[in-house]
Amino acid sequence: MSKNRANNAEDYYAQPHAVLKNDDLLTEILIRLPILCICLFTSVSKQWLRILTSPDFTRNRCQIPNLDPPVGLFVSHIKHVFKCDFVSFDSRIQSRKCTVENVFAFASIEAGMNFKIVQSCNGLLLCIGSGWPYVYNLSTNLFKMLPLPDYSHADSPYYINVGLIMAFDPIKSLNYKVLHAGQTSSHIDIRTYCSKIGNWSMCKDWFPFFDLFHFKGAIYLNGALHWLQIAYFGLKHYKLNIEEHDHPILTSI
Amino acid sequence: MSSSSSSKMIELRSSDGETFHVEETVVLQSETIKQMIDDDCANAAIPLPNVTSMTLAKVIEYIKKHAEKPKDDDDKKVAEEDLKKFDAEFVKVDQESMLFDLVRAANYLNIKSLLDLTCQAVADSIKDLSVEEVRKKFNIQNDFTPEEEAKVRKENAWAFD
Repeated sequence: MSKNRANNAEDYYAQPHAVLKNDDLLTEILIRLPILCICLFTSVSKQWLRILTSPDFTRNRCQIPNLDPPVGLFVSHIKHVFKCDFVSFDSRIQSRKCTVENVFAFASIEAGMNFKIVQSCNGLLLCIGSGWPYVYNLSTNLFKMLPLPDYSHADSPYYINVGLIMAFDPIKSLNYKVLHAGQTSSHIDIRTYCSKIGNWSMCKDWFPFFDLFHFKGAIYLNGALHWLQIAYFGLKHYKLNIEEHDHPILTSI
Repeated sequence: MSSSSSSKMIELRSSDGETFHVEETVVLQSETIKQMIDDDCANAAIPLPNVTSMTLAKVIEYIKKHAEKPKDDDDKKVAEEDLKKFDAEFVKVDQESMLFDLVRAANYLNIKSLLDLTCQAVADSIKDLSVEEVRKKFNIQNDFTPEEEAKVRKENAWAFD
């Protein structure tokens, strides 16, 4: 009787085991999991750990687009400038209030230098450290210090930094752009850093103050930056198309 | 050369000895069988010792559906939608073991789209589970020592605490 039951159990798991014990087939399955599962499931067994942490796995997984739904949101805390709340979208992870710091230090850079996370965009972080902009790739743990934009043409005493925004969409292109908006005495100008070129370029057009008031809160989506601004009649949606980096087009909807 | 109106039929034999007759144009979706035909090894029934008749019937249902050619562009859009629906229904199998059989058959027969579809279905069935639930579902032995497991979990700490 008991032997019978054991046989049934063996039969029941025979098909799954025939697949799961084969590294190639298990890889084919695991490669299709969202990133959160990749981290969680490393502790299922030694075989799963070995597969999930192999460099080939990470490389092959990059070739399957649109895998990862957002895991949660980091929301800047109202009272603490350098802290944020984490709002989880997944029941396996808890939301956390005001315990996540949006400042971190790189081990490889001189001690005491902290980086403030300005923005996250499709896997890249835009940070500020000692006044310099940095782009940090979390998955490769590599960062790049960007040159400072050239302010020499601006009427410097009145020049105010309005915002620094990154645009990156790995499905479209592996190059990222960083846009810097600065306020002179009469208008706002925009400079663009393109990782392909490796330098800042000034765009030809000028923009009125009011339109870019909330530029630093912009998000990047489908080739354009979007932000909301309070207008007389409610909220106004601004869209800055940045497909052509020296000629961004601003529209309000 | 076979004429386009009546395609040549290929005979497949499952592991339990059942034979299936499938049009050559349909069966060419399997790289493994295509290779056999190219090498002229398909004059008699092709034995498939790794695939049961139940699984083979499902595979043939899949490749037949995927061999349908839309007539024009309008038809193409409708056909694409239809194929998406078919795929979604196809992986809703009564017994989960069938899904794993299909993964193995797709791999053995080298039908990439079917391997993608079935592996995604297995992945979807575990993506919301906890580690313990995954182990239980597939009867996977936890072969870590408690210390090793704690270390692995700590390395991925951001995902847990």
